[in-house]
Amino acid sequence: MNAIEFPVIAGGQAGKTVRCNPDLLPAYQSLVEAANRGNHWARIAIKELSALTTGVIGKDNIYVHPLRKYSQGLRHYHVFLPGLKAEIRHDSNDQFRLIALTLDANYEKTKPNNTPALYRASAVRRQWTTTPAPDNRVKNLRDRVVAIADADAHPQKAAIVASGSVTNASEVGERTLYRDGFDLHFTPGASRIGGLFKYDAAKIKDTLGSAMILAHSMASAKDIEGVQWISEFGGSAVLTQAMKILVDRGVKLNSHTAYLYRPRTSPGDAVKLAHQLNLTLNKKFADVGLSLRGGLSLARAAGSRKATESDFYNGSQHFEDSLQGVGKVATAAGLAGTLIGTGGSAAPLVIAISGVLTQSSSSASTILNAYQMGRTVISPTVARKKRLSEA
Amino acid sequence: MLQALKYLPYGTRRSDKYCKPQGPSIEDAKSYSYIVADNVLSLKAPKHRPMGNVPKPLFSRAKGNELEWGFMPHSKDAMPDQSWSYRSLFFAQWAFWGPWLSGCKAELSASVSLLTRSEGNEYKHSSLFHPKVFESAIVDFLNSSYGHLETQLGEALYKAPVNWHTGNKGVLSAGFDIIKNETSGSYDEPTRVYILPIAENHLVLVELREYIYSWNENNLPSFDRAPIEAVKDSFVDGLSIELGQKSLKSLNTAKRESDSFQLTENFAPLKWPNKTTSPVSEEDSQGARLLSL
Repeated sequence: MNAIEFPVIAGGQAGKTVRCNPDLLPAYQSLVEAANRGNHWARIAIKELSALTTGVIGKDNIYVHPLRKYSQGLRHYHVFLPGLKAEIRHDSNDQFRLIALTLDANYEKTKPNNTPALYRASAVRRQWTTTPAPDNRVKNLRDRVVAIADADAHPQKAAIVASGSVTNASEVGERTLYRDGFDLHFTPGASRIGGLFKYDAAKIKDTLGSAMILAHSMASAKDIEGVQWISEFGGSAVLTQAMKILVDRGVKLNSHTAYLYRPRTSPGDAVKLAHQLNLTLNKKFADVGLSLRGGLSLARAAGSRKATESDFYNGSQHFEDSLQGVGKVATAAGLAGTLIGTGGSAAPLVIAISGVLTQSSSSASTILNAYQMGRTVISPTVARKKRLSEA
Repeated sequence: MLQALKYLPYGTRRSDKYCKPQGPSIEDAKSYSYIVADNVLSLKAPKHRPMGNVPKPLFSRAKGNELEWGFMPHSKDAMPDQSWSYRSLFFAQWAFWGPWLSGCKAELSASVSLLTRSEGNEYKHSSLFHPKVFESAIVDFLNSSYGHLETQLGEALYKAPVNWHTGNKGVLSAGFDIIKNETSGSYDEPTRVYILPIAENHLVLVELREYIYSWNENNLPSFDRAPIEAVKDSFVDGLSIELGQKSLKSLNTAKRESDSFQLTENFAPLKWPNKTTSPVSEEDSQGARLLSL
């Protein structure tokens, strides 16, 4: 049989020609149609088959059949595609020929831990294990915790770090964590996401793929009651982007909640998106640590937080937040002042000390004192009367 | 001094080049002992030193008898039939660092726990010192904790026991590996398990679990694993057990009652997954996958 007569499916003009057995042509064409309709997996399958025009070297989804060997050392290959396995024969005219297409679910196995995905993390006798979550779906359990981790090299490592971070969210305790485990949204990467100079989540491009997958997990979890989306460190970028995708699609996540632990992107932006998604927010939405920018960002979002019905933000938290914001500004200004060393005036030093004092306001007693102090200076009722009279 | 500088616990120049990482110092291992009924369990372990500041260690709990302070049931996820309860005695984790700031290559965590049958599931009129009872207890425990887990393709997620060998600690004891079927690559990430009876109804379970963080292009650990194995070996070697009068008596009874007081030489991996519900046939699930294309 002459191989030239087989229909060409890829590489007609350049590279190695990939041909197809005539009996497989209808199946292949329906795959192309699905790809043209925009089916993601069909598109990947077509792409992987077309990629054969560049040969078989360096592709991790192509395996050599161990037994079938043809003359001249030509081999028989198995190419794993999403949901399918293609068998490829290397013909003597140095062309590839598709000789079989069978259903097979091993494609995911050929991909190592270099794709963003959802994992189930569970602790058995205090040791954490992760297993991939089927179809990136959140476990159907009331008040399920989903940790959105910062970029890491390995899901196991990310799970151990995240197990330490998520207990900082007000609703999660060790009890639930060690009993039910949590779902981990893993983003592969060598360095952390976000930071002072990449504070706008919308401008971080590397994590968009990860955010797409998280958005899928979030949308598919919308019927699960009370899911808690907790990001840690740079995971806030992924969460913010995923929330933006869902807002654009018009998805509502009633009864879900979100929390940011030490966000490395703007928590204020995340608050706005969370409101648009109808998330129910606790009084405390983010732990920004010592981040000045984070504190300011949260303080700016305070007005809309107070006004939104599904947000349990209140006056006392508002005072604490704004105080922290002011404290951080004062610290920064004061430190800058003392560093410049104007010498003659002691004012910057005073501001610096006051800044440091208010900085440590996270301890409960200081907050209480400061709050009471603040109330005597200007009580909410006085402020309201003042506003009314001005209007 | 140079060694200390060479293996600083930081990773600014991360790379997956081949190297020999340095783990915790085995020579400086500290001893811990626990009283279980009238027996004493002692172990030796290096100082807890994970990669970051999590997880937190666990060294000692009760001043006196551990059995007086209660057991925890396993979660329904970890063990659907909840037939065993556990009590954690020891937990520590150690990082293995590459030379010249090349990053953390792997971590090893050690967990020692007491196991007992949960209420209503007790073995009647039998002692775990008896070899046949001990063997069947191991089978029960493995079936309950790993038998139900399967991959997305419906295969068993774990394979155990592998590399079965018997130990000698004064009582019957056994060591083996648990292998995860679905890992990131061709490497199995074995969890070393060592198990021995300490009282008529209580087992000691040692789990040494490794987390590999550095892979080469063949999906194998990119470094020399010998230091990890060394820590595993020294941990198992450092384990010792001293039986009290009552336990010695029941051990001698078990010796008298059994024809040959020893465990089986070979132990093939158990047949998993345990299907409890009728599974969807292969064709059906494949049909569903085709439709979703």
